[in-house]
Amino acid sequence: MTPFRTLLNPVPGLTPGEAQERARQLLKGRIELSVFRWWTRGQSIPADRQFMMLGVAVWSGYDLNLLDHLVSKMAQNSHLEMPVYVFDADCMASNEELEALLPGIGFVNHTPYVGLWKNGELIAKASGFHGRQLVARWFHIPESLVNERIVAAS
Amino acid sequence: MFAINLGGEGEIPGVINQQGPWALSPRWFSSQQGLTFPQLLNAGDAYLICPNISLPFPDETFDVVFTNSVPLDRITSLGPGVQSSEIQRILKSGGRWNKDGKLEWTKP
Repeated sequence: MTPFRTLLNPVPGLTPGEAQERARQLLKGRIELSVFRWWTRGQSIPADRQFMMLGVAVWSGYDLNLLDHLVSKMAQNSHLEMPVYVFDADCMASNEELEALLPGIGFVNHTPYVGLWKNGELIAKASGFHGRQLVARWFHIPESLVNERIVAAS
Repeated sequence: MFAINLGGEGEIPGVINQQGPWALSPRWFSSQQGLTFPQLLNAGDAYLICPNISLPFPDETFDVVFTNSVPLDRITSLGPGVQSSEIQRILKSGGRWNKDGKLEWTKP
């Protein structure tokens, strides 16, 4: 499977802004080919007993690196088969929209946006650096891996 | 070499780091290390707080502009992201835009 971090790569003939928009359009397909499930704003909250929602930005090397490590971890450990619903963080037009999805998350300034539900209750939420920490701890991924600064391929 | 890192968090030594006004919120944390803005300042790096939409520099000021993991030419929940038109404006002729660790563009 093509690593998610390749979405950062430049695209010949496109401006960087256009390349980011193209990456947004590709994200859904990449997610659907992976261990993750795709979620879009406007859909209802999943009904699974336990699940994670993960809002990622295609322009964030940190977020794409997190997805790659999560794919690897979930592939190695079948007992970690908790559904992870991924959505495009840029589809959230305001902090209020995000607050409606993840009540209590408060002011967010960085992606990823992370919420963890159990038995219908949102039991943990975080964003940015702390969101990556939450994912890393839940899935037993070394935090040093998810905090790496990722750059585009040369 | 005069350089600026738009959306910078001190990850590139010796450059000015620009952040939007949201960095002044007490609930703001840096993306890479989860540091508060005062903690970043204590590391000794130079910071400029200003909106992305209109950088307070004359045309052709910088030799290098860096951007890492930032939204470009789009609106996010925080407001307008980094503007490529501003990068093109503040770069000197021959100046370079280094995006996500790679040379993106050299100004003619």
